[in-house]
Amino acid sequence: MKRLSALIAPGLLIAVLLGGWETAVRALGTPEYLLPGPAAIARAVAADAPGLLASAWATLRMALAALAVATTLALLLALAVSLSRTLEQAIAPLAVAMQVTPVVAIAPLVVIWAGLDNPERAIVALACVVAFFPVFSGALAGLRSADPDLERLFDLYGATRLQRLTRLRLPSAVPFVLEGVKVAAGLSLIGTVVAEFVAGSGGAQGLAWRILEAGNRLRTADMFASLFVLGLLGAAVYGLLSALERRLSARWRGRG
Amino acid sequence: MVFQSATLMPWASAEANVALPLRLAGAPAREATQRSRAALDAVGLSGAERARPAQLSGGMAMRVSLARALVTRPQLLLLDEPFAALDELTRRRLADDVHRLWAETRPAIVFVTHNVEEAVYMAERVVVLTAGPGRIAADLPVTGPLPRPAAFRTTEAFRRTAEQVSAALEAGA
Repeated sequence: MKRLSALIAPGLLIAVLLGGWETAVRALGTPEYLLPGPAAIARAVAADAPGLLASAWATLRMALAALAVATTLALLLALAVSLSRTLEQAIAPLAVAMQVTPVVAIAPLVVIWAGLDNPERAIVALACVVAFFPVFSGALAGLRSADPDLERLFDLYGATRLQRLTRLRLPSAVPFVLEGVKVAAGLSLIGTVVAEFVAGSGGAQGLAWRILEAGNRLRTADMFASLFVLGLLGAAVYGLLSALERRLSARWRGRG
Repeated sequence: MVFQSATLMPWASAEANVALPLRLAGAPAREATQRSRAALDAVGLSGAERARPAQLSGGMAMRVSLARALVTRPQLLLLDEPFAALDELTRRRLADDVHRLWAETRPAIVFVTHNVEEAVYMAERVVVLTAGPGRIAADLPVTGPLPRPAAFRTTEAFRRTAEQVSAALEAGA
């Protein structure tokens, strides 16, 4: 019953909003290039479904590649940092500086470095920058999150540093890393789209490229169509990773 | 060493938790598992080897913790308010279990508690510490057999010693 209403309530709200939108657009006679109604947008989606799907896949592929690279780098670095106090002091300010610098600001640089011929590589690199931090800070926090009484127990039984790492710190970090990856997945999608905008048109024909192209031609309904697909993609990625995180951390806690 | 809470690794089975001290000392996996199972059996948890800490009740988790402390067959066992978080029935049952397990290898046990009756029930010797700087306020022997007979709590010796310990606590506070 609760689940049903959780589905019906937002569905109803969306239906009301779309209905109001369509009615307003028709009643006011708004030109389609300014604000198309939902019906026009739906037609635009239907008219170019294969193209939209291909673009969505291109964006998703780049976002996932960035997520994979960022996660790998972040985990390795967090591990290194957790082992050495000096390394942490050296890296922490850099990591923060990288985190607070807007991705748009460094995008042109990366595009130059990756080469204008390889916009996809530049986009992945930029999304990587965005997705790196949540995994890194999550893993670092996780590696320090071990129960202090368990730490004492490990002291008592004379655990070596390696044993402490593999048998206590790494397993303790798992839920934190999962949470970090979940957040990073959403961010890497955002990072990909932002980077696509900056890299402009060309080799990488993701959803952002479609929005730019349609915008240049004043095909507003097509812009909305791409936005709609982007929204769906984001929701799908977030939903999937939330479910995955819940499942895995439940298993970790022994309630799977 | 047994802490106030069970202090188990939530990601590992009861068996793996108990095997931990052996594994840390470099024992091979198979031997550690065998001894771990035996220790779990001794605390009455055979059948729960594969259970995770989250699936165990408070009393069962404490038994796992006790099994982990016993698996290395220590000569000295430190129990720091091990039953503090448990209900009265579980507490009494575990108290008898500790005595039974003690009788097998007879390690020296230091048992920290804030409960006077528990102290008198558990120990052959009750040391009362003062608050503030922890000085020894009294050192009282408890007469009676170990493990305790069924109605030990109602005996005259138990009551008298409990009163003495309470008085020493009052004086030392």
